[in-house]
Amino acid sequence: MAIADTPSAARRCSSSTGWRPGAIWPYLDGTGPSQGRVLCSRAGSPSSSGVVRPSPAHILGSDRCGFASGGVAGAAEAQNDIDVLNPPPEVEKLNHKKELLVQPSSSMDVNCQRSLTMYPCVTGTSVIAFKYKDGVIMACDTGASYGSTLRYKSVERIKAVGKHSLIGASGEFSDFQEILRYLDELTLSDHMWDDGNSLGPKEIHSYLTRVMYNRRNKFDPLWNSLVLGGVKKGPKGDEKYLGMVNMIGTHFEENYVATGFGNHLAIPILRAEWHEDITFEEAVKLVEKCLLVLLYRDRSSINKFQIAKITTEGPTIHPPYSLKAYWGFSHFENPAQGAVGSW
Amino acid sequence: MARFDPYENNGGTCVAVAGADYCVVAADTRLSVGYSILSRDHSKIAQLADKCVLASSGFQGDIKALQKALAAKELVYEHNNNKKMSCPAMAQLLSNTLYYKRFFPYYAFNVLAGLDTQGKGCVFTYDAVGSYERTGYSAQGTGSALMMPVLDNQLKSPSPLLLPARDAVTPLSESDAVDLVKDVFASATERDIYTGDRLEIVVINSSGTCRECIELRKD
Repeated sequence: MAIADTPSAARRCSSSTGWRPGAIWPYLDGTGPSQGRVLCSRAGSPSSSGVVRPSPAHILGSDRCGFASGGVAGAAEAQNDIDVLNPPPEVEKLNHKKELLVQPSSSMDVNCQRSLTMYPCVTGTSVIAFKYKDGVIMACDTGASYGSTLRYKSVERIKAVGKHSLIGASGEFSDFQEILRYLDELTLSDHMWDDGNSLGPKEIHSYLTRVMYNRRNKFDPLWNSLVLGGVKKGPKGDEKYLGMVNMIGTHFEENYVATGFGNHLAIPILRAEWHEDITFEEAVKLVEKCLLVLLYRDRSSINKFQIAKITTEGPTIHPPYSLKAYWGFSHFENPAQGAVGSW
Repeated sequence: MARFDPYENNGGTCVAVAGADYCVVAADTRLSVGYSILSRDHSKIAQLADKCVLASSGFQGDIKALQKALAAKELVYEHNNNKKMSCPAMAQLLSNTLYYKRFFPYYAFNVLAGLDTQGKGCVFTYDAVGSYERTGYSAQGTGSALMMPVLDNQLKSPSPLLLPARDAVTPLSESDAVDLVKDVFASATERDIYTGDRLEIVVINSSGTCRECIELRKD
């Protein structure tokens, strides 16, 4: 998003001593005011030898006549000395600029410096999670797409929250990072109470629901579907918890959840094959089955996954690994067999 | 670029039937979004006071926020007045709470039910912005249009068109009313895609509140 760079702002920044940021940067062709030539010793440059060459005023500007015209070698160099950040008004007038008579309506309100979310930019795809015998298992791929480009391939979309929970997110990745900052503050202030109590998954899920719902009320949603899983000792022993929140605040608790495409491709598999007290080995096999289907059928999925689990011992996020996918179908090997094209 | 839509309909149906000394409230437990089922076991019923129960269908984020807000206000009332809120009082509070958000409504279709101060069954039915009416029975939600005609026909309540106005509570017994509610849900489940999975029935009478669950079709 653009910062307001109005000419008036630039003029406010310009100093009266005439120092220009470009003055110490070497140019690509080796010319220009390069290192070693500090502005105040400009008069001592070899080419000037004390002679004041009147340089084209429209390029250098009359408000810089003290330093600019003195000691500048030639017209070519004089042109290179334009202060790009704080151009003099004469230089600015030369540039063709679109005159903005009416402020274009956009989500950017210049006065209050706040913009509302209209659409997500860098997005993660599905997260799947379900309860198993010792706790909750969660998995997702490590990709983040920028529209249809697979921009980032090593992104961690599952993070631990406190001692008892894991959070996984799909959707806008920067909003997920913002949520992690909120959770950091929350867990820090909880830790500082130093009362032996710590936030469990139920509490974090409730907090996240309120955050998402409140942002939706302001029409500025955090564009994510969050999965929150964890285990905490409760009145009935170790209680496993798994819940989901989406970007407008719809939330629920279930034995297995999936976001995005996982809702359509993974949930049917989980509905058929999940059962209470599934062991860890069986859980990993089931997760891999779902991830493989997503790999084949979700175009924004990549073959690099992370599995995470949370038990009473704490959260574990395993390092990324790939699944063996089968691409040896005859139609893939000879795609034009059934329909020979003309080009 | 499509703007984001702050609402979604999570489906489901709620029904309440008032009798002479009891009240039956029922709602299915399916939470849907679009053509997907998010959960088969999500309750739409909230107990706000010991003789007052709210069942809502619509957008679940708003429903939960509304139920939380009402529960909080009820607690404040209890602290201020040293008694739990009565059903008619809660009815007025719900109407005001809904109208407060007249220009960004709670997308919640509510049925408030319980026993009034005389111990008679009462049902209040609402629209999304708070207009309400005390009736003898009501259905709200995606399957309501399928259920209301059956209730009109089978409950044997006095007609609301009669003058002088008669109490609209049903003359049926409690078990008959519960059976009718089960039937009506089974019928709506056949034809409404958003209704199904499980039915949660809450019966409020002078001895308290009791909860029952029966299975519905899962397709």
